[in-house]
Amino acid sequence: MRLLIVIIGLFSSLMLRAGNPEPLVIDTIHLEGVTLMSDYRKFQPGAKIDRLSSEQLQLMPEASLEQALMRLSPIYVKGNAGGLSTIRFRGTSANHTAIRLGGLNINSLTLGHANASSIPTYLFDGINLQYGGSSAINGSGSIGGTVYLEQQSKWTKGQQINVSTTRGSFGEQFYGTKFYIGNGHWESVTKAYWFQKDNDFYFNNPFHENYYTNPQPVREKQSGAAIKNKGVLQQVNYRFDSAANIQSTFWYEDSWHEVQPNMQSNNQPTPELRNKNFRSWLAYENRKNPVAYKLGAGYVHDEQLYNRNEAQLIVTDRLVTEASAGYQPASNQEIKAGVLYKHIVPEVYAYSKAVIDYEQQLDLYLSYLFQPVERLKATVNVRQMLVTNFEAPFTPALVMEYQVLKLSEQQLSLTSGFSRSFRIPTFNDRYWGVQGNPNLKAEDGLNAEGGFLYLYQKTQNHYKAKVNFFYMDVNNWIQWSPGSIDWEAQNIDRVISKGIEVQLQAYISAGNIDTEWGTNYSLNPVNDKEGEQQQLIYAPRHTGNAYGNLKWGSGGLGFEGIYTGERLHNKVGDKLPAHFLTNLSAWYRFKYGQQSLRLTAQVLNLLDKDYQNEGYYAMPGRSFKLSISIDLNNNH
Amino acid sequence: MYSKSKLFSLSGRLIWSLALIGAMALNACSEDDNNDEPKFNKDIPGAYFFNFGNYGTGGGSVTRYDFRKNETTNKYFETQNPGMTINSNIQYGAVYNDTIYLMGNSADELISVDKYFKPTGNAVRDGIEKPRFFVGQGDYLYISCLGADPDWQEMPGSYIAVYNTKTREVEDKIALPGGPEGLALVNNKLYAALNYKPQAAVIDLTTDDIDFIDLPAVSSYFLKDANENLYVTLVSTHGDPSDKAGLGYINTTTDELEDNYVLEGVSSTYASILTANSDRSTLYLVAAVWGEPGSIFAFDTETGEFSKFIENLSAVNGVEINPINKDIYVLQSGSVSEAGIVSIYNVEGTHQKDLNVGISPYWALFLD
Repeated sequence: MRLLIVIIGLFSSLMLRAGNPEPLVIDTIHLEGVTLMSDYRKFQPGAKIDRLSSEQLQLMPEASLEQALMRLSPIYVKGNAGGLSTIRFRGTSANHTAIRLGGLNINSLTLGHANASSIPTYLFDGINLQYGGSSAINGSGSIGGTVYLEQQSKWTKGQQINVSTTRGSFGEQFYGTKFYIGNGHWESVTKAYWFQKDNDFYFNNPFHENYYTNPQPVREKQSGAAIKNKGVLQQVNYRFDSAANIQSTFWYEDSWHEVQPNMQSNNQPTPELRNKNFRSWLAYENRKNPVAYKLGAGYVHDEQLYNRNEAQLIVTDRLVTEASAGYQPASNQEIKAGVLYKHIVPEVYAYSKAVIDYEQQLDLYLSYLFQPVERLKATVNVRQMLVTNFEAPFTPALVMEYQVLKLSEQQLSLTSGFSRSFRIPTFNDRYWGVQGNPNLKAEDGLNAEGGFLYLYQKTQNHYKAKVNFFYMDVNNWIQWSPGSIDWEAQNIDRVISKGIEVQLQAYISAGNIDTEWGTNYSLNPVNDKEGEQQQLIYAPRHTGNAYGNLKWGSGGLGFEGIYTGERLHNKVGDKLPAHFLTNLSAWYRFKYGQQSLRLTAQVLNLLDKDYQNEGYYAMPGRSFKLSISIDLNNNH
Repeated sequence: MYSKSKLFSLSGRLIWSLALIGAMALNACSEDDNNDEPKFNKDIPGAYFFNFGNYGTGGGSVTRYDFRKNETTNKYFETQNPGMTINSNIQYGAVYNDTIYLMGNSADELISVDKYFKPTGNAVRDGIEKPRFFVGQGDYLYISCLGADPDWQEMPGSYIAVYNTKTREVEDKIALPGGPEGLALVNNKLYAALNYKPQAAVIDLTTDDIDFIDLPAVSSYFLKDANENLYVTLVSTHGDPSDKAGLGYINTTTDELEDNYVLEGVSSTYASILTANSDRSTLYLVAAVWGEPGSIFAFDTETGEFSKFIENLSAVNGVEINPINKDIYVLQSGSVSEAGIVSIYNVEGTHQKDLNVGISPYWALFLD
């Protein structure tokens, strides 16, 4: 795979050289004129949706989604040192975050979540993060939040190529390439990467082999935590004209990792886990007529193999089709209706064919965007999911944004939203062995939030302050607990999550120095409503981050500080202490004509802090990375 | 323009003030820390509950219950050893020759402590891979182990570790595929309940010869009767379903299964699912049918009949009998992350009280 990536990169470079004697237009890969407002933004005005831009992600081409979120957002990611991690918005659990690619939710249908460590950001043009429930838009599972893996159709004219590589501490190697070719109407985008990390970092182990006679930490090298991921993503897009196009995505991912042992078991044998995923989505969009419509279809194959034991292979296949149509009865109104159908076939050794052979799911949804008064945008979204032998709740949502103030230099908007969200139980919850519980109910959430956004701009400088309050009540929270005989999935808890999120950002230019500063803070009490007022496990009450970027000429410096508050890791009071991590990066871009080469150096965990994001699992100390990224462009 | 800016300025202050008040209100309900200093306990008598914790993520602990003073001490090891904790999940624990041995999982190790729960040395890891249960004889412990790389189907790498308590080393490994779980020693023969094969192994400790007794289901634990014959729990599991689950009775002279007392839904939990009263006339067994609450069944060894003794239980791990006051302890879990409960009943099966203990109580040890 690594060789393949290098060959693709070299071959593509030669093509560029051979085909274009003129000076090449080289910059970072063009993003202009490619994005129409996504439907999920359009029909959720005022929803809290943050974007990790391609510019931010370019500085860390090797980063998985886990790394990007940990460094660039205040969202808590529970996990170990890169093998397995899950995203937890607003105190919710791993299964309450939907991860969307086109019309697909790529979460495992058996587990209910995706491993954020095996989603490479390099393959995407940006990451959008929606906080809070959005099931009316995104369907089952969007209770805590939603991650949108963004792909932009650039309608390339000519060729563009990027080749990136990173070498880092603990045997980290990354090789990636992106190749764009097109004539303005059709384009092909090929992205591929190969990632490996030995993960043999040193850490202070408080739970070592001689602990009972020497309970002081000893320095040990992490064993059994190696990672090898590789993937290729192919897009083929065709634009008939500005109002009609067809786009396709084919993504194959092969991720392997050793199951990192806890600190107590360091140096003991560890099993391995391999996932192979194929995700595809084909969409046709036509906006020529008053009734605009979209048609989409996709196929997903998920496969998981534990410790090379073929007898315990876990496979699901799903066929997904979607059709939607939109109409604007007036300039300030838009209505959209759609239908989404999924046919799912699980092949899991622990499921009985007599109980589950296949499942069908049908979603009907309707969105209405309107402006009842000037400056007020509102949408009503409703969705009803129908599932074979299962009952899902009707899901309405009302989202509003009111522009209180709009001056040349200042803007103030008030936002609010009320929505219902839900998650149907996973296949494992319902069908695993005899412990699965077919009588489970769907998790049922109510989400209310409000806030404001203030923008201030003067000359080139601008400032942004955003504050959100939220209140979430999730009933029938599913948990695997000891039943009368064995562990079984049960609707147990009613969970209340509430909080406040504050974002401050500033873009300040002085001479030829551009700077960007920002901070995020989240206060998030979350607890069982029926139980004690104890914070839920792995839900930090306080999280925050601060960052600063400075750009001067062709170079730049970046700083990130990430604070994660104390977390309970069980309900008998055992806690992970709070930690503060700091990262530094510096980059310089060399230009040759319109070609460019960017060098990036990163220092992660600069202060070499010991910390854990999952109880008893070591995380790396200070590490270094050096990246080289070459952009070539041959636009017509 | 000016008036709008002023209006905004006021509304901005108001909003920021509200945000600050909201933050203070949300943060107001923090818990108070308990700063009580733990004190070393010099009294040994009591019931000790071994709490498994959550596999791989710690939480293993010991709860001491002084039933005479009605005092419960959770995290007892930590109390006796300030600044320390139990590293592993405690799969099983028992006392042998005045030393308490704990079978630690993740990390896989044999932990040894004295009766005050002070460590008697480092945990032993060499030769101990996924330990399950042990019995002792002479200077040796025989420890059932699933092996380093179990397939959870045939368990080809499982074995019995022969551990020398004097040298603190594993001297030998007796290969025993099939996933040995519970063990029993009778007449210098080691009986091993195989949990992945419908057989019990009989290892002659003099010759190391291994014979097998065919069983109608896979098995988990033994209990000796007054004649040194063995009752064995027969369980139906997902991998090895059987309609003959219940209790088996093995004659240790002939090494044959003499009886099979069928009881649907015998617990497949790896905990103290089987115990007996002092004269071994009545056995107590954890069982439940799917979709119904769990029960403790009483088994009359004279009539060979089961009867429900304690009903309407949920999340039962095990049942133990206090040999000193005859009370019956039902060990129950909440979840992998929350405190378990030990419910205490008198000999008539009348509920007396509940104790909050550590995460997933599996076994109890009674010291006097």
